[in-house]
Amino acid sequence: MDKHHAAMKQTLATLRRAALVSSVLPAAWLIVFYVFPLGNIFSRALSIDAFTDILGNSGIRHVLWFTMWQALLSTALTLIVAFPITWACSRWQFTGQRFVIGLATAPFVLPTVIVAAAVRATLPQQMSSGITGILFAHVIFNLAVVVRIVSARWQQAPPNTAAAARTLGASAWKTFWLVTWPMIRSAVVGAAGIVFMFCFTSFGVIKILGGPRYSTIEVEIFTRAVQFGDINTAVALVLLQLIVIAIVLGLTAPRDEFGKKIRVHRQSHIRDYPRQRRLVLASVYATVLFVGTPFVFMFVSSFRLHHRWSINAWRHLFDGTLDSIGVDVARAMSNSLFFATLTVAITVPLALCLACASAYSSSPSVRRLIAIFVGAPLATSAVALGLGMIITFDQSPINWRSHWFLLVCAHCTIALPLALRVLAAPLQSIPATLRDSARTLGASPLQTWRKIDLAIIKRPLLICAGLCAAVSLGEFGATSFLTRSGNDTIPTTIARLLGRPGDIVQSSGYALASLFVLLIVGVMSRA
Amino acid sequence: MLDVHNICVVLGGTPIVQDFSLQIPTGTTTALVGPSGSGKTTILHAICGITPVTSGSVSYDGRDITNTPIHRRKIGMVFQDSDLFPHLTVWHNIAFGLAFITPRLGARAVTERVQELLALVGMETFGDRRIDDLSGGEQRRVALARALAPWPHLLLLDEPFSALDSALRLRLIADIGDILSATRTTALIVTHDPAEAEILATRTVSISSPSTT
Repeated sequence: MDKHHAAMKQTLATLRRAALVSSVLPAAWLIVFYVFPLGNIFSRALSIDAFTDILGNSGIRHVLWFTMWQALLSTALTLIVAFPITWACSRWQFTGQRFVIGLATAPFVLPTVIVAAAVRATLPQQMSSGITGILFAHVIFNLAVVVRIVSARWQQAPPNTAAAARTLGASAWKTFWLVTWPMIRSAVVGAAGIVFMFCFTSFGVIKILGGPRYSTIEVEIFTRAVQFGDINTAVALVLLQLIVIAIVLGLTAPRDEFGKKIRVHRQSHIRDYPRQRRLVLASVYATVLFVGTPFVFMFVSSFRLHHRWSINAWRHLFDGTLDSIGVDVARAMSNSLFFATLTVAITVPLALCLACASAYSSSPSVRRLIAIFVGAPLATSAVALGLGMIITFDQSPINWRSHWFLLVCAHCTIALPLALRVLAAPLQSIPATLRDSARTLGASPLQTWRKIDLAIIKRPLLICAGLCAAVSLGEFGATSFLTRSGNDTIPTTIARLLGRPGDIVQSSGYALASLFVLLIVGVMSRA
Repeated sequence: MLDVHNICVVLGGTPIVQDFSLQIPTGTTTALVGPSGSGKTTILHAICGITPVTSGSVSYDGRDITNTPIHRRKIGMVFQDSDLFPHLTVWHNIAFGLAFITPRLGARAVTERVQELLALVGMETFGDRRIDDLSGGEQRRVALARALAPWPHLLLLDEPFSALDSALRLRLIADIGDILSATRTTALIVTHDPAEAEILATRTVSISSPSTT
């Protein structure tokens, strides 16, 4: 009996040791491709006067002010638009619920360039670049953040507490304000912080919809670094942006006051509650229209040329017409697929090593440390990462500045935190007794890991691969920095097409964006 | 008097309650006894308006309240899991319903009522406690005090003694029996234990599955 116990303890100890050793590789990856570039930015920003100079520059002050207020307004609008559907999906069961949640979440996995293209295709010409489009795109893109985060918490609030408040005489509004709101407040504030971060660091949307008038800090960093070669100002802006994000995320970090007592509760089916049915239906239809319409418009616009129906825009994607403006769609597609394949091949094993180290660790602080260290790239703007890489890897012996491999490194660094999240939770949830059973049946530690752990996380591994591919295919911020002639990806090509005047070019941009949506849907549904 | 007349409740296409009728005279305690899954909780939810009835009617003192919103029915409810407000203290949980009484109660009247109820359930010193710090039995007492606070016409208790150990259960049965008779509250208690029903109620109604009487 004691022998068995010792063998079982040994299994976990062996797995833990192996996971810790293998996690050296992803840790080294993050140090080289995240910590060094960011550290380089910090050291430059702290050693130059540009940081004080930018605050004295009225043009940059204008950019800072615009970045701040558009982010605040976008966050407020996202919360308002997301609230009805979040309520409907948290409190009620209804036919088509998964479809609606999927639709509301879809724009989030699409590149911001595509969302911006869809919004541009929807709005009338005179509004196609300006603040209306920017806000519209930000709301569509971030709807998923609020729906996912808030509804996860709302579903945990016991429905009977709200019913108890009603039986005590509180109206529906008072019940929400006095009982439900305190339970979901922390999740709403947390979601608002994340939405603010995305809007504050908005790049793709502003590039497509901002026109010459509107620029965020993120766009300004790009413009200063790439167009003016003013790296010092760009670096100072990155630092300023990181400070604001750190403050906002710190202030809005969710607190779990009632977390320990809360579990997910069964929802009631809306068909049994005629009074609420109309409200739920209205929320569902409004969300489907709000999110779906721009993509329908984008698809339709790809078949419109000179106010007539035509498939020429689609034909021009591959018949060489666009070569004259330096756009090679076939090349961009093969580049994107190649980079995505490499990103999957590198990121999934790295994430698996980290997920094992996190799941097999007996110390919660080790898990937290891994989550914070690996999660940091999520809170860093892609443009900042791209800039950091450019200024770090531009000297011999590691002069990769114009090498396509640096682009893949950026994609992997951005995808790693998401991949870890997909793999860590299922690995942690595997009961130790399963491994013990395998050991008692004669499996070695390695066989146990292969037959139990790896077999159980087969599906999460596929999802992880799909997610990494989607991140790589859609990445725009860092790619804009790191891409060189011949290395264009689909998102940068779409941005180039939509950035040029002319009906044919614009419609081809919409056609390529539509094709890309189909590609992403295909990748994600396979996973 | 509460008059439940031929109510039917269908949830998710399944009839949970069929043609259920019940009368509860004012000032009495009635026990609804039946096996698990017989629809007892659904009947309570239908009476207080949490779950809509598919057909039939609920009236109180001759007034049809079938379509009256929950918060205007003046029917208190003690839920199976107590379902106290986790973000409020014991005192604020009990005072919660007093904020919605018209005409509005003054601060002094609210304090007096809360103190009276804390004393009634034997928890005078627990006002500042957080809900998380209470034991299962204490939570049931607070839930009872909270439901009684706004002077409801009728009190519904859904398995108020479930998941308690036997000693605590016996003590709480005796205490709740005393409180109901001291406050002369009209009450309907749902239980699956006929012994509990016998101790607490003046009348027992048995139901089978799906619920009919």
